[in-house]
Amino acid sequence: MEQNAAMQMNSEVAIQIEDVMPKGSPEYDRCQRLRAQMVNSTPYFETERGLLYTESYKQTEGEHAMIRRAKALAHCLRNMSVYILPDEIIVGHNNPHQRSGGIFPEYAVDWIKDEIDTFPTRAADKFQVDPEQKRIFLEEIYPYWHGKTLYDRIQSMIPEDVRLQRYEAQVFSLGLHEDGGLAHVALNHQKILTRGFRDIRREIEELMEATPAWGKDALEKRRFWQACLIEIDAVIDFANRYADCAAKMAAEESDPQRKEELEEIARVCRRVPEYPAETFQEACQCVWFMQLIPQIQDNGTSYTPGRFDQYGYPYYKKDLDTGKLSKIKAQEILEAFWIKFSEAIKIYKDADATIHAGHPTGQNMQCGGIDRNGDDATNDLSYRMLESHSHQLLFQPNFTVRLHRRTPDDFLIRSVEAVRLGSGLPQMTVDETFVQSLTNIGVKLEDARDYVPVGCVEVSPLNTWGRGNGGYYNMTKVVELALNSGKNRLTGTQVGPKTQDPKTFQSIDDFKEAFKEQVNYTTKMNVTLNNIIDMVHEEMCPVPLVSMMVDDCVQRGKDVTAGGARYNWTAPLTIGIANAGDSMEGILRGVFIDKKCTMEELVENLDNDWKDNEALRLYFENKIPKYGNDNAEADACLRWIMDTYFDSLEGHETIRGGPFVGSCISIAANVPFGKLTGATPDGRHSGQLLADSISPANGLDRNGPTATMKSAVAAIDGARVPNGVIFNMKLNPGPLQTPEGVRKLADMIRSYVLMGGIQCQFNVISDKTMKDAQDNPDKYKGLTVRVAGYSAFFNELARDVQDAIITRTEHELMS
Amino acid sequence: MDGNVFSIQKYSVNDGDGIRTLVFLQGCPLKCQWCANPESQAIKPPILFTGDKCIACKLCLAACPTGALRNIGDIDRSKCISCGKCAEECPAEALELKCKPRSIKELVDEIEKDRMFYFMSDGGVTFSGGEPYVQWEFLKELGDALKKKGHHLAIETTGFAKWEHIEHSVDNIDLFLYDIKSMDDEVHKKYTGVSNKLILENVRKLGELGKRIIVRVPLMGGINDDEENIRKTAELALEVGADALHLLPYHEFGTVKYGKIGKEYECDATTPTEEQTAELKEMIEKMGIPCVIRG
Repeated sequence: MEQNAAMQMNSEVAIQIEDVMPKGSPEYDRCQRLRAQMVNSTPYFETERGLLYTESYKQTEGEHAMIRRAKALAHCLRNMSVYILPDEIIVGHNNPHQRSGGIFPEYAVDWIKDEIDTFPTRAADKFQVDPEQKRIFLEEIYPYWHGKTLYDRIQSMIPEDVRLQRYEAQVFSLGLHEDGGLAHVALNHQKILTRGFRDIRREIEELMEATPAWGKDALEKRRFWQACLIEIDAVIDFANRYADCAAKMAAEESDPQRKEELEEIARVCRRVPEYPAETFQEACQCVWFMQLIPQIQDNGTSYTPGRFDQYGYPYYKKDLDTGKLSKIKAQEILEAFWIKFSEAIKIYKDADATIHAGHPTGQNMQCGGIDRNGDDATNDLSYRMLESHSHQLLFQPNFTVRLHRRTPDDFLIRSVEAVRLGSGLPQMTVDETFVQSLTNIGVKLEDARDYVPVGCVEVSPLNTWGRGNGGYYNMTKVVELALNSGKNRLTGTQVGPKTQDPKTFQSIDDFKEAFKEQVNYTTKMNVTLNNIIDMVHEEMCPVPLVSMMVDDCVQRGKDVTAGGARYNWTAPLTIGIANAGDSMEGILRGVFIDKKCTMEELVENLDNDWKDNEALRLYFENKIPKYGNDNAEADACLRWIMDTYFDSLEGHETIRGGPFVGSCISIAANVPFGKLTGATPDGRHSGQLLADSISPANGLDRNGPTATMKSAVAAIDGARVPNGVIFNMKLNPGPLQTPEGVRKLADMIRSYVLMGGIQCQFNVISDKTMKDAQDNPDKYKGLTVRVAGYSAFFNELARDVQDAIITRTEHELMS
Repeated sequence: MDGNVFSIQKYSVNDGDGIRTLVFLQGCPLKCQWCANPESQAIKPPILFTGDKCIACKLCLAACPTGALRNIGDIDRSKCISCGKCAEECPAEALELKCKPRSIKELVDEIEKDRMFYFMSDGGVTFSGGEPYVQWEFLKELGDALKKKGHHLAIETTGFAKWEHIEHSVDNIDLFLYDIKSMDDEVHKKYTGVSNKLILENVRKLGELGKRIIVRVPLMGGINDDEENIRKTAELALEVGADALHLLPYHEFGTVKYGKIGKEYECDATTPTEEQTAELKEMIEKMGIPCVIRG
């Protein structure tokens, strides 16, 4: 009998493909109430965090930045608002109002002063501003920080040549990290879950014991460890404040069921993250705390929970095995946990809000895929996550299904059924491709197999400081420089090397030569700015708490910003690559093969934005093959552009050690960057939007989704983009309503996996619905769409981003 | 040998098993009033003109060798020889000639591009039209070439062809998507311009050969959607051992194309209601044959 029980304990939880939490059950209803509470909340501009940090920084002037950071976090965690909302099971908020935006004055303050009055009315990401909150900011926060922020320091260090490219021509942009945190990291939650902070504290104390303080190296290590200890105590106190809050509410609660829940919340918060988690609820709570607190420490985005179906599974299994939880109760906890991810939002400055419209916090959660041994790792929790997403249809956690050659068919079909619900999630990544590209840059095989799509899909293994976002890099602008001897076409300013006058190009080789020179130069400028940013973050804004969740920082006594992580790199994100490839194909075919016009005529038309020759523009737009149609010539042009760009990264090193690596992710930057890019030989007008990520130019992929997939595989060398790409496809929802339609989409996706695809994601929503949503926003409050690497509420996107999504080619499943 | 192909459409998921590539062959002996591809009927393909795309650059006028293009969008179709020079020159794609002569090799290469997708989904190639059997000799050669590559082949046919022409390539075809427009010969003649006699003969012969058949009915409200006609069609489907009967309710998809080729759209069919198609489906399935309603 005993033996039987033991055997049962060892067997896996039986996989259930169908939902475990039916619509209409009390558990389902509660989770829908939680969802409605979140969706209907109004985002506020909040000064609480900024004011607490300011108070602390005033008290610690003269101390080292590392210690000041730790003390400021501790002061904040011990004094900020703590509250539990109705129906919550997983608790913890980062601002006094649910789903609001705090401020981080140590990073930058000027833009807030300049833009605060526009927050309630601007096009994207609106925040309500209470007059008292505005007063606190202007009188109590801004004066202290003005001129002393991270942003001010970075600005003081940018050399003129970099400034020209970054600000004059905006060939690349690193706005995100010039005035905000770095983040973009897969947090090692498993470490906290299995050990608890008390054990990490013990480890640090032992390390300090073993490291006598006399040399510079040792003193620096001890300073880092000291900061860690301050933060550990503060984190544990914060959890206990939630325990106190829950206990107090339980004492006052009259409903016996809720009272019991609050008592359990109190118990859980006394346990985690100080001690190892033992139950599924403890695991979820611990992960949520350790998602939330880093987002209080800094305003970097893409703190990534990663493979929850893997590290969360033992707790899930144990509670089911012991009978502590039924599947439906476990599902209720999972969904209550899931909803929390949409609460953590940040205020971007307007320019960045356009790029990152719709509050993408990039908390990417995955299920499925291979394990560290290369075997399929799909389990029952993977299916429960798909169920959770299907019930909630929210834009966070950003949600990824990892696919590989042996992904079980049931799992793929269930994933496609989730995709057809239309929120643009889950996105899909291809394991074999990433394992290859990651091992290519020196990641150990088993670490590569355990990779995590960070943020959008900035892939990295655990224990990596990949600096996920190395800035947006406008490939179309580099083509513009090659076609204008290094001058910005919009202003005439010389921002790059004076390459050959394009009017004198005799063959496509002359173009290639000029492009190569411009791309090499531009990469060097971008690397310089990235490294300046890294230096200033290390100096002014280290993040010990995060470093404790990224090995080997504790062991090395080094913050992640200083190179403490096991793996280090930086990945600029290229955008508008389709326009770059199509432009090259335009020159090749239009000028040198079909001889439709001379280089001189072409350049004149680009200079005056095709004003006098619409027929020629249409020729370049319509009559020349384009990337995305499985056309070998067009695909080869893009391939050459990308390979030349990847070559330009070779040999550059980050200040933390480690390479610069490839990644093609536009977020929504293809819209604003398009505005800053002149006319191009693909027939594009000056100012028109660029193609997103690795997707074809909008509306120019006309041969259906299979052709687009094949082009993507042909033109982007999957082995050279370890940090990920985004491949957007838009499908008409109609045919996916039948099991047969789901089957065929699944077969298409599996073909893409087998042919060496990298990533794909689908907006399954009709243009008609989106246009209706533009006219009747109130009817579509919860409508979530895929932007680029993340999903967002359609209503919270600026109009031009909405339009950009609508103009993507909609692939009909033709009859 | 070249064939006249007016379109190749990939990722087609409603015309046979799995993911398929559709090859549309030019020419059709029927003149169905509701035809959604009227430009595919004539052996000589017509030039299509879309007025709102035209930017009045007049490059087309200079390109026309016969003077058929009298002015922008004004085509004397009696003079037009469908050489396509105007469409080639037109940068705005306001003038289009969809149909082009294509070699077997060219088509096989294009079809082979999606091989992985057919393989994964048990898909393949579907010949459509027009009426593919108009080019029956080419169809055989293309079928032979594709069979050598191991592709699953389906054909979408009106069945209006000499039996010898069908028989010529019958071994190549794995699945017949066979249109039965009306069991009533008078109705058939009135709306398609031809008798259904040959069509019914041919489908019975295919049935005798044991070929896999799916019978399809474009369901035209007020023309062929009456219970009696559908019942007789289902009886025929049973008789020839068809896998299923598909109903394709009428939608005015093709209307816009008529203007582009200078013709009037004259079909007076209505769209059958969802309840009506559901009732027909129930009746068909009661007779013992699966029924699918296609969008």
